[in-house]
Amino acid sequence: MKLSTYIIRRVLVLIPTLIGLTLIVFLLTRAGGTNMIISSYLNPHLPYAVQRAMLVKEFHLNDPIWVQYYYYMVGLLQGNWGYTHTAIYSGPVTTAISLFLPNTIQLSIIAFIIAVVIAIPAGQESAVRKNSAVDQISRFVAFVGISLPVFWLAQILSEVFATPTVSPALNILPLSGTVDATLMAGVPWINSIGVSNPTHIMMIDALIHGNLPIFFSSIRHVILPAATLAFTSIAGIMRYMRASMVESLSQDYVKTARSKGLPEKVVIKVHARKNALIPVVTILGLLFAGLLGGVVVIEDLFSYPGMGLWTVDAILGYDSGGIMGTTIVFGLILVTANFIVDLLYAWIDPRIRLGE
Amino acid sequence: MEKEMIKLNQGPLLEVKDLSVEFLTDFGNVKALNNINLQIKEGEFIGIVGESGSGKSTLAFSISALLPPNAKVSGYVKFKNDIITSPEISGFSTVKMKRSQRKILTSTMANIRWKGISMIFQGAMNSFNPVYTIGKQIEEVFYIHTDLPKEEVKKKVVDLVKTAHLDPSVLKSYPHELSGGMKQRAIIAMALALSPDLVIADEPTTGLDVISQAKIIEELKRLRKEGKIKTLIIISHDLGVVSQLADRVLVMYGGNIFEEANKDEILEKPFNPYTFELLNSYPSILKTDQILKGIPGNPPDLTKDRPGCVFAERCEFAQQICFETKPKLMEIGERKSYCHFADTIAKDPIKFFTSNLTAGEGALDLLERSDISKNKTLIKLENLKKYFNLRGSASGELFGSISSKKFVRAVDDITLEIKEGEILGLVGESGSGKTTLGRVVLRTLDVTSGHLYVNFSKDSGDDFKDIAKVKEKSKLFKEYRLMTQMIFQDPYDSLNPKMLISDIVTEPVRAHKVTKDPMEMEEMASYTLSLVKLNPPERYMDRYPHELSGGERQRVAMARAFILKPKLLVADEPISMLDVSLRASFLNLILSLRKEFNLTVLYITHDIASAKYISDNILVIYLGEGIEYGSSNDLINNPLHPYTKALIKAIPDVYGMKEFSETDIIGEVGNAIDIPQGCRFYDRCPYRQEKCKNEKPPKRGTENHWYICHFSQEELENIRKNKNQK
Ligand SMILES: Nc1ncnc2c1ncn2[C@@H]1O[C@H](COP(=O)(O)OP(=O)(O)OP(=O)(O)O)[C@@H](O)[C@H]1O
Ligand code: SF4
Ligand code: SF4
Ligand SMILES: [Mg+2]
Repeated sequence: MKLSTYIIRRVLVLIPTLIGLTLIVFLLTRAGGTNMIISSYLNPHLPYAVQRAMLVKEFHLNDPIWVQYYYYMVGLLQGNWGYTHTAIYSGPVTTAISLFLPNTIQLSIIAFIIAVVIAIPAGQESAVRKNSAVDQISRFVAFVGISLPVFWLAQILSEVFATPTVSPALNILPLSGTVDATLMAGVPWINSIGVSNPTHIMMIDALIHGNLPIFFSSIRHVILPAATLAFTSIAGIMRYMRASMVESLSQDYVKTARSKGLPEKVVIKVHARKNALIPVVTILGLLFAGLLGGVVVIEDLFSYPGMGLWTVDAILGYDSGGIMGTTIVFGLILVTANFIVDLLYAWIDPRIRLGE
Repeated sequence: MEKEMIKLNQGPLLEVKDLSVEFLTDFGNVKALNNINLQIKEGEFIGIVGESGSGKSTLAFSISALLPPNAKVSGYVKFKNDIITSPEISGFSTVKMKRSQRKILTSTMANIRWKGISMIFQGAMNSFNPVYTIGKQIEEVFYIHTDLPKEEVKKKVVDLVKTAHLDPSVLKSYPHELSGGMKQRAIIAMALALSPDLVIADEPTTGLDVISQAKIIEELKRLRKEGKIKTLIIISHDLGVVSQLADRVLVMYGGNIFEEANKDEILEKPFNPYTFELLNSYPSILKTDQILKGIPGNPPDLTKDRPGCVFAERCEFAQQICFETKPKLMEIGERKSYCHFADTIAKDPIKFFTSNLTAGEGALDLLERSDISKNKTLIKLENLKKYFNLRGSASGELFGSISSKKFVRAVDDITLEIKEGEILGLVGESGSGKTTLGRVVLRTLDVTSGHLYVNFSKDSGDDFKDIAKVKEKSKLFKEYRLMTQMIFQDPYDSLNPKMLISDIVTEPVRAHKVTKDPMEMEEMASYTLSLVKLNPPERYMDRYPHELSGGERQRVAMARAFILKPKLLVADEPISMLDVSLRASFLNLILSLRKEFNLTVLYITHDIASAKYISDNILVIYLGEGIEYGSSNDLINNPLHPYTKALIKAIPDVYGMKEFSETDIIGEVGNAIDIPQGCRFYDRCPYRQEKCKNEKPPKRGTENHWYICHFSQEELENIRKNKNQK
């Protein structure tokens, strides 16, 4: 099968997955029937009954559930995702997404890169030098990484690097937010609610417009949460890479490569590593899911205004618009991440493309 | 210049001196090689034979300086003028080596690897990296060792694959896209890239089917004639393969070289008890009424220290001294033999081997075939068919199968009779449908169409019932289940590792609820274990499968199959995972059970020689269809179908050399999905004519020896003659 055919098939398979996702989210939020009308929707200037009737009409709550789902889907497709009323933002869900999602993407991608860049070479090294000091150390770090609670680590890091009263000398990083608010005032490419243009990702937009102070400020803001987030998945990737590499190094083609007289470096990098990466790539999708779980906790700990923080607020405030919006976005991210992983997989491993 | 120098000083190309290798493992030190001495001159083809664990591969790794870090070495290996394996630079020592030392070693090796010595590894299937194209992996060799520009390298690689009779288009393929035979050719091409002085081929044909194997052997012979392979070490567990290629043969056992001599000398007149007994283990299609003895006992545990000869526990000629002191490798003229009695044997081998021989398991009368033609028929297959739908991944299923519905015709229209007490050999290449037919006969797979008549009569009469479509819950079906049993290829997979041997053996008793009395069950188990010659049974009952050797496990599987005294046993490649010395005695076990209990056996195999040894009749199947049937002697001495002719010619028999080529069969494997309209064999048949393409060929010959083809033997002979004239 050609790679393009493979991609097309893979995209077609995405459709039922997405329908399933929206259906589950929909059913979960509607499970309570009319109880989904909760106080944050109420407007004190109108009688309760009137408002209730309006909302029942808006959500078609008296219709059968599949009719409700139909209207919900139509709304979704038309960009009408409802309203959210939380402490950090109140307004249309779509606007909230455009505000928070870029921050989260920025955070999780940076964390992901940090994790991969550290874990893969470390796992590879400890496989190549099995039982050496390098291997022992990485084993210890992995052990620590798996057993340390994130919130504890976050606490320690923020006290050491971002709290003048605890460690004045090392107080070099900001404690919360995504960028220094004072820098943003009057910048033409940032709109009134703080969304930057054109990519919405502050760091990249700052580079595009050549505004270095904002760029460095957003880097300084992302370091602590990203490092904490990365730390949680480094251990897993590293151990997995080690196991996979050990396996790959014992294969016949590695023996053949050695006997061909290839320098050991080439044997490892060209012959063993690419094969070892195949199974690792498959779990990267899962690990990315793990990262998203971590985002919820970590954004909250560092008061980093992203999807995670919004999710927590939405859940705590029974904000059904926010809950539905965030869940669907997280679901989409997951599905896309898996899709990308599958493509990567097909690209690395020629056997996949055959498609039996 | 360099070449001439070597010729001048006439030293050996390779010298192995007092080499011993131990592997340090968690289970103790494995003494893989003991005191090996060996010299190879330029131009020689050396064969190394030995059973699994005898140290062949370890020797190959030592010679190519590729020992793993857990190896401890003494002695040395010298290639031309360089020491390439020694205690200082190999295995264990490489871990703690200084950087400067490593540099020197690396630069010496850079000249020896692939330019001096290249390797064709055991397990051809995995010698290529699955994620790169074949072309890239061959080119790599040139980029590392030469400064040739890219275009030149590409040209050289194309020439190389052409020398190995491959189409240059394989260079763009990934390894999984090639058949086993093609991959192996590509590996040979790669091994010859830099015209090395020495090529080491470790089991180059293991895992290939007989026909691909014959073609690879032919290829290696041709490359020698053309001067492309100068010196070769060919390693195999199969003496047949080795004897096709080697001038001189070394026989290894338990880490020692037991015998070294010219090929013909070793085959005709071995000077060593192990070689003698090993030769008595290979079934040959050239010898009639040969009795195979096999070697009793189990392979040696190499972690154990023993004062005497490693073979003593199994040697039928062993005396007290063999258990007490190690023999020496004795030189007898040009030959060498590792045995205390080497001198005596050399004086009169026949006298020594006959006078000391004890009557083994292979008692003569096993081969006495009673005339089964008068026996009643037990099973009749009529137009039996089994098709499988081709299934792919979930998404493939979703989008692929709508347009084209494809299926594999695994068993297609088989008609056959099996008599009670008959051993029927079912022979075919991998993918021909042998296993499927076995499973359909047992009804562990559903029948697609056709009839399966079984004779349920308890006496000499006939009582046939068609059970092809009978429901699994019916009484008839249950009765049939009780009549049949199966044993499988892999004695490691087929026994539950968590169960005691006694429980494994009595499994069918419990499944069929024959008895619940534990005493009775134990008695049954004990009796059956002794029937399969696991004696004394008490020694085996309370052990677990992992404590037994491969041969013993397969006997346990046999005991489990036989405990309810089935009438029909389906044995699917029961010996292919066993060592040569253990195979013969397992075949003898089947023969003795047949003799004693009138057991009917469907013996499924790809190995015609073993089928000939035990079967009364043989059915050859090709892509799901029976293409020739006859008594085993007839079929092998006088094959009628073009495929059978090729198959028999392809067997690397210990006692015979043949030329094998494209004129015997075209291509390497059949394709079970796109079967030609007319004769199934059309794509590969060297005799094919226009009408074979679209017309189904008829059955020819007699009821006792038939084949399926458009042509009579004379017509085939004429086609061949005409072709040769052209
Ligand atoms: N790297 C290793 N570590 C530990 N033991 C090993 C290692 N390599 C081989 N051995 C052991 O050394 C002995 C000889 O093995 P070797 O692979 O040389 O046998 P062989 O004759 O090639 O067998 P086969 O026919 O199965 O390939 C065996 O007992 C094997 O288990
Ligand atoms: S030394 Fe003894 S045990 Fe060893 S092969 Fe010779 S006779 Fe047999
Ligand atoms: S029918 Fe034709 S193609 Fe088939 S075996 Fe006979 S000669 Fe060959
Ligand atoms: Mg081996």
